[in-house]
Amino acid sequence: MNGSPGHDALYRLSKISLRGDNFTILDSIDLTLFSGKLHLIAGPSGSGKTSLLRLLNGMSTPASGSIVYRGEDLLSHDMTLLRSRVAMIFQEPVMFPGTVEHNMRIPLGYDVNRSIEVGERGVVKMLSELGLNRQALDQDAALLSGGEKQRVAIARALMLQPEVLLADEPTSALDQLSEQRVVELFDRLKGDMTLVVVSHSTRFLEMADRIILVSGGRIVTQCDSLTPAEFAEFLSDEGAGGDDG
Amino acid sequence: MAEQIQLTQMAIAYILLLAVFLLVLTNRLGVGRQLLIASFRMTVQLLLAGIVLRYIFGFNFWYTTLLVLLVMLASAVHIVLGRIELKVRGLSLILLASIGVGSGLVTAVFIFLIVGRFPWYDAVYVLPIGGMIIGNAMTACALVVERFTSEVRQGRALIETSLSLGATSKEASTAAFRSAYKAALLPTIVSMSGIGLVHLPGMMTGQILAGVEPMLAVRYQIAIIIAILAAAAISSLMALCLVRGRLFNSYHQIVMPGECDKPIEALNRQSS
Repeated sequence: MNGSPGHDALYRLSKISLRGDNFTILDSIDLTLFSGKLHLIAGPSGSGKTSLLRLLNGMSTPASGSIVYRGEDLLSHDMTLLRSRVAMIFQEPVMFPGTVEHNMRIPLGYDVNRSIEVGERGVVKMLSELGLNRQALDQDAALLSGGEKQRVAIARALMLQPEVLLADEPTSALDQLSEQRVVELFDRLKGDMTLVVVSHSTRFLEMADRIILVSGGRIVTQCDSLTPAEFAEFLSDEGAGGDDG
Repeated sequence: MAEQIQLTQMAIAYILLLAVFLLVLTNRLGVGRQLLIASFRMTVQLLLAGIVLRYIFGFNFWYTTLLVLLVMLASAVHIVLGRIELKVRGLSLILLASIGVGSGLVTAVFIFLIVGRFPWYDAVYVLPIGGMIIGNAMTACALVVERFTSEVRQGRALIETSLSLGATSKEASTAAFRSAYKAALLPTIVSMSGIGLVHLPGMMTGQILAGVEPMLAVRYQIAIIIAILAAAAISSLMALCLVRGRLFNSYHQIVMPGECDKPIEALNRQSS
């Protein structure tokens, strides 16, 4: 993978605000994300978790405040290059028309990703890490189950060999075994790769290096560890529904 | 010379229209109101056009011809704006530039090089031909803008997936771009395929009825069909490129008018 080990500050967000028509989506967010660590973001629905994630690979721009990535203003980076290095997985994965293999290879055809070479064995290995076999390559991606689509979306993002992976509820549609595979994969990836995961799963809580709790567009807690009981209490108090995995 | 159509004969044509209207009403097909308005507009607009053309043909100055062409262009822009649901910023200027450049270039080539008309501003030639070219460029632009904006809106999740994996806005919107351009040119292409076999086009029919030798009418018709295709192709491509520039910003983000400030969770719910 392209990521460099070590735990330096990779992102620094200062006084970030994002506004809607008549309301605030994110308000005065100050946040530091570290290289090679797994950051878990949790909070109730509509608290701004996804919006926060989208800011990190430039899918949205804040109304005010600054985002510094690798020591430079995030918006001064070449956006396509940034998104090749900072790949994102959406909560509801979308498949391109065609087979699973086609879906895996489409991003490699974008100009910015042309230098990334992944052979068929690499594609198969990536899928097998997530519990999908070789036969899955020829399947019509539109016919996959929600959980299979989620795993293909993870594999598709990892094909880019990014240094940062932003994952929005990556295990919400997975059964326990598949979720365990994803959690184990993410555990292996951290160190070489920086991970930012939005999830309510206690499995991610156990392996997270930093926990960021969000409510009403503000960060209410940032810490290195949290017990499952404390985590559940926060989610319950905020009406977030608890463990989704 | 063409046979004169007397007022009583015109009345028969309107009886035919009335029959269509009754057919639509009795079968409750739901287009009665539109049919009535369109018939009324067609009659009034053509009568006005006839009066104006008679007046303009009498003058035949370069500036009167140019003025009428500009009025046609402005009307085309106004009509397309009324058809587009999504209010793209600067759309009127985009349409003015696209229809203006596409139809202006092609009309100039047609008048100066293909028919070699002198003087170039002869209203009898320029206005019907220019009108036909502007009208087709207008239809193509309406189709291309409507299709592209709706494809981007409906396919937003797929486009954002591409963008989030490193695609440029051009790469991410390629499918929508192709689909919109195809939609814009398809009516002209289909019409070209059926010409001579399925139907004789209006201009050629008019010329033959007016007593022009058929082969001469055919030559004119071929030239005008090519001109129409070229104007539609140039105008719609220009409009498409300019509208794409409005729906994406320099950070390769979608900036959909009226939606950009909504929380993304709400957008995801809309698109799913």
